[in-house]
Amino acid sequence: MALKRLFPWMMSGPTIIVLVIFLAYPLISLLLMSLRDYGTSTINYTYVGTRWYEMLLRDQRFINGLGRTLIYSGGSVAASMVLGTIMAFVLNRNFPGVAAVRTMFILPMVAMPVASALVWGTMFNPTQGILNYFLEILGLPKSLWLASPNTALISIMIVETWMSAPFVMLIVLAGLRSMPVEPLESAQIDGANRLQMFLYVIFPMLRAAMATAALFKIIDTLKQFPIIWVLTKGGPLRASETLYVYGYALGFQFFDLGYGAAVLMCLLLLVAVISFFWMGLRRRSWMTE
Amino acid sequence: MAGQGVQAVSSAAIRARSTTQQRIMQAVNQVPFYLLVTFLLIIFMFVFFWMVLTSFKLPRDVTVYPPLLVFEPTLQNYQNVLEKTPFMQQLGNSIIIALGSVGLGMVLGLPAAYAMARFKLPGLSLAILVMRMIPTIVFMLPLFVAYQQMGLIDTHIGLILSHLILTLPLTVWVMISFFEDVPPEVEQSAMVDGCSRFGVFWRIAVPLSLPGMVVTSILAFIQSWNNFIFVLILGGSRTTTLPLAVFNFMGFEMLDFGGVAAVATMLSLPVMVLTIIVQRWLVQGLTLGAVKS
Repeated sequence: MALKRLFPWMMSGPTIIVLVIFLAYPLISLLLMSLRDYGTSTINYTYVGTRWYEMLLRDQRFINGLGRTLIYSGGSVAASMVLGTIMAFVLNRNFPGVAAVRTMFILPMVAMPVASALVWGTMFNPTQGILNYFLEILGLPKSLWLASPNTALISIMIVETWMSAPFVMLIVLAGLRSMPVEPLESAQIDGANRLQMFLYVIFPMLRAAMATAALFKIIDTLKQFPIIWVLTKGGPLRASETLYVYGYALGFQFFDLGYGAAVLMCLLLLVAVISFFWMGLRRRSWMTE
Repeated sequence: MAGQGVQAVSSAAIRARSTTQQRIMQAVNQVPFYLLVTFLLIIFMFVFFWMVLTSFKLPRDVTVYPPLLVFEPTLQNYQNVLEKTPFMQQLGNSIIIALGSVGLGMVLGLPAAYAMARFKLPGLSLAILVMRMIPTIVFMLPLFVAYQQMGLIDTHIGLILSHLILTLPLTVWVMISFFEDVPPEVEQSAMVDGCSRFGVFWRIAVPLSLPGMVVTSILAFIQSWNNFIFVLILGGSRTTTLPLAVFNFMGFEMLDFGGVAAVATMLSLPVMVLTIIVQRWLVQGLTLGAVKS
């Protein structure tokens, strides 16, 4: 009997060991690191309490990075939601080649981010890039894209949207497929037009799916690093430096372990707040099932 | 009588005209829809089209402005990458690390997924979710220090272990829903026949979930294959994987767009093929089962 009760824990034992080493240990260790001054070594340190956290409040680079992180996530997730929802509605119709189109829509999401970002980088090139050529054809002024502090962040957000919209599409499409048809039929009988159908019938039923997609994408965009690092390394003039990039630079370029750890603790806190919000939503959807 | 005849004829004509009109109108109504599909396809596929196109251009054609659509194709870029860079070695590193972390993730994660599917372990599910949500950089500072002290920097085993952070949560969560699909009656009758709890897992649940394991492995493989941050921090010259290699390649040969495009094409193709195989399960895999397809 005791053996029977132990069975689930014996089965998950190996996974629990991995979680202790690669989840609990790094989290506790990072918290401790953020309370220490390492100087230039990784072994010798002195305890400094909350000194780094007090410094953060006065660090303009940190505050700007936090702002950029929020703009980056908020902007690219909003754009991905709109684009992804349009794509889902397109794919929800039956037309010849719908399966092939669906596959093509998915590719940006799974292609290697470093490789895609490199190609985007060549397309953004202000003198030879094809994007400026398109602008020229359309009679619009050319842009400096990544080369200017004014447009660098928004250029990367375009790439992020391109990579994120397919994910939103998949989730909204799953939501559309699982939608009951009766409310739609009765709305049609009552003479609702297309816009009314969307606003008052379809959208309320899709809300849960869209919230899931949005929150997943917010968390994923807060974690974005490869495309920013490949395209601008946070520049020019730190114009695209998010918290993740700032934390990376502090920890691995300046080897400022203590202060870097404090910045990363703040990033972690941001993700934690959003995740708890998400789990609250998720629990509610479990209860209503 | 004649009047009635004319009326009948004309109403028939009106009816005929209105059906052709309707058909034309229906076709016309479809036009904006197909325009929208084409527009979206161009937006989402252009990068890949441009990547493949550029990879076949000679250096002199790459930097021409306005960009060329028609040019003399060449395999020179691919040849350069294969001959002048340690591409094959880096490909080997990528494959070793991806297969290692997927395999290890399976061995460790399968029993846990089964236990969670049958016994619901809320604390463990929460911990796994947390691991998926946390930005990877948060793990990197402590791991970097620990790896340095243990001499694990720039080792294959070190990178394989670190990639468990990617593959293990995914494996556990996706496999939970596949194990839940195994009918409990089959398991119960096996237990009546004297099979142990572990025997049920190993001889019944695992074989019945083989297709799910293939899907899970492919999803985990893509995660490991695409990852950049772990190898950037914990890797080195001996363990450089392809994402880091292509990143370094850009640094050294900033203007060799053709070469960059050739590497990018070679790196993206395998993942695209795998994606097409598992696309039915993508939602489940990428949301850790938050949405079931």
